[in-house]
Amino acid sequence: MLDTAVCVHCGLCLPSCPTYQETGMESASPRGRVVLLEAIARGEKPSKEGLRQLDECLDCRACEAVCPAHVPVGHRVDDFRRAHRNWISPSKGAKRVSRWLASPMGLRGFHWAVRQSQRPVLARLASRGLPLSLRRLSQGLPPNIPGPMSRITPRRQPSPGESPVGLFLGCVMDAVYAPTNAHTAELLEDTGALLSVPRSQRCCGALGFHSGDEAQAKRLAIANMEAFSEAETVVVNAAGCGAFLKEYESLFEGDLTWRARARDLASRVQDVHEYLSGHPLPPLEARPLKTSVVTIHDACHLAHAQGVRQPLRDLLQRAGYQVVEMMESDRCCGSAGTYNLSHPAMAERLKQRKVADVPAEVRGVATSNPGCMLQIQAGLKEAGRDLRVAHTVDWLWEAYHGSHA
Amino acid sequence: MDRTLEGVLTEISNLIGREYVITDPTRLATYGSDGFTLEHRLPAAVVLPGDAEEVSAVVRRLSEAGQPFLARGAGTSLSGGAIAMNGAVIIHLSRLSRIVSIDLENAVVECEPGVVNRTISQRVAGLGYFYAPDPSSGQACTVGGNVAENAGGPHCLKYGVTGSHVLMVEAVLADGEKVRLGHLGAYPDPVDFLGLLVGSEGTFGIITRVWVRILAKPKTRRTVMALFDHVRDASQAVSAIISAGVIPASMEMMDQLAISAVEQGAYRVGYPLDVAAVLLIEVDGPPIEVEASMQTVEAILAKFHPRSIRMPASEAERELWWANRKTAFGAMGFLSPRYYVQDGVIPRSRLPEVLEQIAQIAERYRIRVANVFHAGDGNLHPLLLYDDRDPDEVSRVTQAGSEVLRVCVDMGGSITGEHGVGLEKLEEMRLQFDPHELAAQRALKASFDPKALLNPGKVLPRECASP
Repeated sequence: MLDTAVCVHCGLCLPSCPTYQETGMESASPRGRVVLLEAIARGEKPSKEGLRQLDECLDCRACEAVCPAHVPVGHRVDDFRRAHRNWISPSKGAKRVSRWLASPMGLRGFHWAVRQSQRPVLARLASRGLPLSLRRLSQGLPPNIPGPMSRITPRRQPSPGESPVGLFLGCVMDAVYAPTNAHTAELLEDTGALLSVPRSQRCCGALGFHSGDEAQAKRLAIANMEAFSEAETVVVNAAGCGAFLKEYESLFEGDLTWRARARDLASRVQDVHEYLSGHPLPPLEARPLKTSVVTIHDACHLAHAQGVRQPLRDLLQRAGYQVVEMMESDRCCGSAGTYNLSHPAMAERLKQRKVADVPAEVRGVATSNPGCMLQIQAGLKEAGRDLRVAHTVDWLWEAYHGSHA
Repeated sequence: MDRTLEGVLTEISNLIGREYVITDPTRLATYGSDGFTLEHRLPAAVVLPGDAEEVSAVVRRLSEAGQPFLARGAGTSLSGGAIAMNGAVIIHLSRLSRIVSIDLENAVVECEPGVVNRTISQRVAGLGYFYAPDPSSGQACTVGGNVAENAGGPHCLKYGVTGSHVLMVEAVLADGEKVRLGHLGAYPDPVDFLGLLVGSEGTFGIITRVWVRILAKPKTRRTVMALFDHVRDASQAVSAIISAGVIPASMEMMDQLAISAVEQGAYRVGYPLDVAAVLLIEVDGPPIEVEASMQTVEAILAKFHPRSIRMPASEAERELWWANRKTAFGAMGFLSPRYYVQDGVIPRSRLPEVLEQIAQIAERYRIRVANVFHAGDGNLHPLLLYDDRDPDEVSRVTQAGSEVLRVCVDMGGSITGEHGVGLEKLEEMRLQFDPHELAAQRALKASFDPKALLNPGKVLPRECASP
């Protein structure tokens, strides 16, 4: 990883930063955060206000993507948060959620809770005890979360010696958007891929890592590296997970064996859009699309962290959709992992800004991260706009297999 | 009324909102520098008004209290224009970032000073227009700062710098009065007050609204890249092209050290790392003219022993070449923790000898110098690399920079092309102007700003002996 000394203060990052756009303040910009981190590294104790603006970094990586010298500001702020957990206590909610999602049982519990929250009476009861940020977010949940979590059975089992394409399910993705995982599986098999969905896979660990739990992230990383050791390619449909899986190496500094294995996994991880756009899909369904004009919200951890933008557009257009671009489609929606729980005020501002950017003429929003889906759907609903937010894969699946959603 | 700084800031808080007044030292430290890192000064406070009325009200109060102040946009100045000297208050205009109107009939865009340069071109691109001045920091720098510094850019070779594209400006003067300078007609005023304000580096007033001219996009555009094994060949080719009567839209050059940085950066072209110089030339206009100019350009390039000449295979590749060139300064971070960029201008025919002299100066002061510049208009940008933790190197780099500027003036050029004097080239002003000329400039400054409150410590060196 690069040192922050390589920031030459050119300032080219400023307009890309959502918190700078919102506040207009240098102290809430990437370059300002580098200055704050440098002061802290020299042993200066920052003020409370300074810390708050440093910690307001979304880790959306927009600045890293435009930095001429690749200064990893988001990573640096993240490192700082872990090193100074007593200075900035991550929200209890965020920590609890990440711990929950990390174990299979916890994940089932989360799934149960999310489903219960949709039952009118219970929802009203339960919501009394919840913070406003969570109540707001639950507005974005899809109407009917299916009972059993995705238990995908591949059409054909790999024979010995065959290398399958592994499907990474994710935690929130699987608990809230299981149909998206099923659609991903179906489209992958459409391309002729020999699918494998290892049962031993776990949450990628990003949520825990970003709220300060490095040990947990390591454990999960090892579990996933084992689970996908046979797969030729590991396909991921959640942008945040994909980005984190590609960066496992940084978790194992000094541990040569696991570093090498992490590098090996990273070389096999592919975002679902990258994979699908490089493979043939079946002929399109003849009937017209229910919704044909959509816009794209580029998830930060796909556009900035993985550099994947064009494949989403190519795939949607190939599938017959008309894509109307929104302004600054790659500006963070404020979801940012558990940011909307830990920094509700800024997350709310960014949500409203994002919703205002969704063009009037579109009927749907395509994106590729569960957090963004929840956040933008909640925002649209609050704004009284009857638009559906769905994963790009869901939109594609409807074009190729007809809509039952 | 309370006329202490504290009292004034309280009044301003009541006026524009407490959250828009920053006095906390930790946060103020982030405003200590701009793109010029040899100086770091804490402002007394930072205030962020939300519109021109608030700017005027803020200035009135600061002025009444005798408190110095300055405007700041994106803080990309390379000469320290946005650094607060003498405990000045920074008026950060980032919230004034609206494009107010786009008038296609008269090809004028009206915008607030905090609008990002590139945003104008992006907003009018779909309508078939563009905003010509394109500083390399265009993705971040703002229009207000562009006008204040009279910013240039690669494509200003053909189209002219910012001043040629500004029709009218609304500004707040030192006492808070709001004025409009210039007009929307095609001819300049008989007394060109607007011309005075453009390039005054925020020492005459604070710009609160700008009306810029936009141009119809050229019908065709051709780009060519030439690689050279000797810097001298590349610079002679530049002179030869202009002598042949061709005015390309832009003609840019990078040397080996600069190439080694951008090739590690965010936009990699794949330049061979052993090449001595690259020339990037763009010609635009009606197809027939472009075709003819391009033939001349290629014929001339071929005479100066290029290793290879290439055209971009696609628009995407052309954009990559430009992104690579335009992020060159930031990419210096791969070579060195800090850089000090010079901005001297010379008659282009002297390019080869000046580049050789710069190399000698670098050797004498034991510093590394990368060259990235607008070759077509003789605007040099030697980037002097240094480490700010090494005081000896800092002093060597400052002296070397000064010597480079002396060479430029000796060659009949100027100490600055587009980055401004700021606080960086104060002493070098004496190289270019004699005491009488400086006195005249001081008198002008005093007539705009009698209490010397606006952007103190910039542009004009302290008076020493009376002329």
